[in-house]
Amino acid sequence: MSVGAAGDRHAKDGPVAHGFSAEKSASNAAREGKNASITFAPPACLIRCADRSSRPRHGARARGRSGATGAPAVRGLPAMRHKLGDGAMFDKIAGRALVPVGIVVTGFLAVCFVLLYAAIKQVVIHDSVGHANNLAGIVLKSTRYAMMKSDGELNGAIIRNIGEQSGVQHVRIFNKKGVVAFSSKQEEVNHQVDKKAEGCVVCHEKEAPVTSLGNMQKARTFKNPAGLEVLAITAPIYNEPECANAACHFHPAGQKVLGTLDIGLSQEAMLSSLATIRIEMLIFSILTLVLTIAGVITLLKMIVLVPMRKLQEFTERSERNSNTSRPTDLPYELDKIAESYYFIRIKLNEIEQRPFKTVDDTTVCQNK
Amino acid sequence: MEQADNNETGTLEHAACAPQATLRQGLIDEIKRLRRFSNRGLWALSLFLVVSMLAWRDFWFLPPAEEIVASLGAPPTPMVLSLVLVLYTFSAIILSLSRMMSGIRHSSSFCHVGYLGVFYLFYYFAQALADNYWAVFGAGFTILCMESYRIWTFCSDQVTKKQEQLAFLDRTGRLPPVEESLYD
Repeated sequence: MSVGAAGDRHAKDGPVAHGFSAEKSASNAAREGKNASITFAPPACLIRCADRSSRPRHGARARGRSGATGAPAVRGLPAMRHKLGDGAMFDKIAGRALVPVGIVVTGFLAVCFVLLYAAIKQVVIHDSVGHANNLAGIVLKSTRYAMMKSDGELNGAIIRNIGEQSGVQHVRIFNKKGVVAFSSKQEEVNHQVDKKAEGCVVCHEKEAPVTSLGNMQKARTFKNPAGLEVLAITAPIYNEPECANAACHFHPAGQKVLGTLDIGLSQEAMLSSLATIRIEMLIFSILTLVLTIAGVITLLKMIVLVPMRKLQEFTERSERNSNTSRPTDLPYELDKIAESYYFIRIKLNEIEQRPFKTVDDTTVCQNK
Repeated sequence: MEQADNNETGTLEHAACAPQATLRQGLIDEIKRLRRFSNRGLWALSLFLVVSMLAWRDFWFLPPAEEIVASLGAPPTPMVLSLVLVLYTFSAIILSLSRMMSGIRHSSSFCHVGYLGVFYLFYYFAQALADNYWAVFGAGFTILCMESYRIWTFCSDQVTKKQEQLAFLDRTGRLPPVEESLYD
């Protein structure tokens, strides 16, 4: 920065704190009874207004300046500046540093939390559907012998027993026409099921029904009349050579699907596990967030804010008392600033203590 | 004769004042432009909130996801989308922080709204919007808040600088010399 610029800037700054004033130099000269012109002219940057009361104490980097310009046309601009840049929080180092850190850490943790939870939920649901499919397979294998023997009573007993198992909401076997042949609830037997109903529509959506489904396609979730979340598996009962060739009853070999098993399992346990996982993840995320923010605040305070405060106190003290010793335990960069300020202060004291010399008019003329 | 001299002096003063007035007006215009620009992040955030509201309503105006998938083909799986979302969020935050650090004037807020809208759409096509809505919303809110903060601090600094230049111009009739900063 050029001296002129510095001078201009500080003159514009108006109330700037330095401990030496034009007023003071004038009063010194008056004390010595010398009204002649003074050889020593303090640099413009060291001149300050005697009115310290108007000096803003904190965060007035922008605010303190425009008021002293004195240019009437600029008067409207501080309001504009205040609108944009005012706010003690954003003027301080702590505010400027912590706001982005807070936003970034909180936002990224929230995103990761939601995505991780969604991924875990998918895994748990997938796993749950796999288990339900296995259970449907077990039911089919259990009833196979009774079906081969066309033993309706045995089939009904097996279905009822499985339906009594805790967590099993319903077990039904439909025939090809969609009539309930066996059910854990006796009142459902011989009732026709709507092919457009949920669970049936997956295969019966088109004219030719789908005969093979993947694990996830067999599954559907719904709320039963009691308000419980139910995961239901619709497993087709395929025609096998033993079925087509059995002597007891006939199934043409060309018929691929003989009927359907529908088993519904309560999702209460799974939802409870998911809720536990969610709470644990939430606690973990909050702890991580608090630790990160606390760590950043602590480090920032320890490394930057406290030394800055010391430096600020040192400069403020030196304004009042020129013999103030500089703080010793500052970090390197701030120590260099304190050192420079300290030496400027010493030089200024030396200059202040020198007797003022009157200008020899003849010398001035000669110089001219 | 005297009147002619006066006229000439007036013309010269006017000529000297004209560039100063132009410079002054230019600075005031620049400050106004920066003020307008400082709201850009907030506009982008508002637009994102509108897009999020549409996503919250499950894009009711679009055809069902099954129809779109039938005509366009299967979308990426939700897992892949989530991985891409994490990568995108991470990169966008790092980019925003880098721009903030180097004080670059960059107005990229609105393109983020586009990217985030595409994430909403892809999750909708993959029928996983319900599970991942808050992830996209959180990512968008974080990125756009960062961008708003970056643009706002940049404009705030620039306005301060311009106001200093304006004050210097009013005092001296010229712009301050360009200073080379060691840190820019």
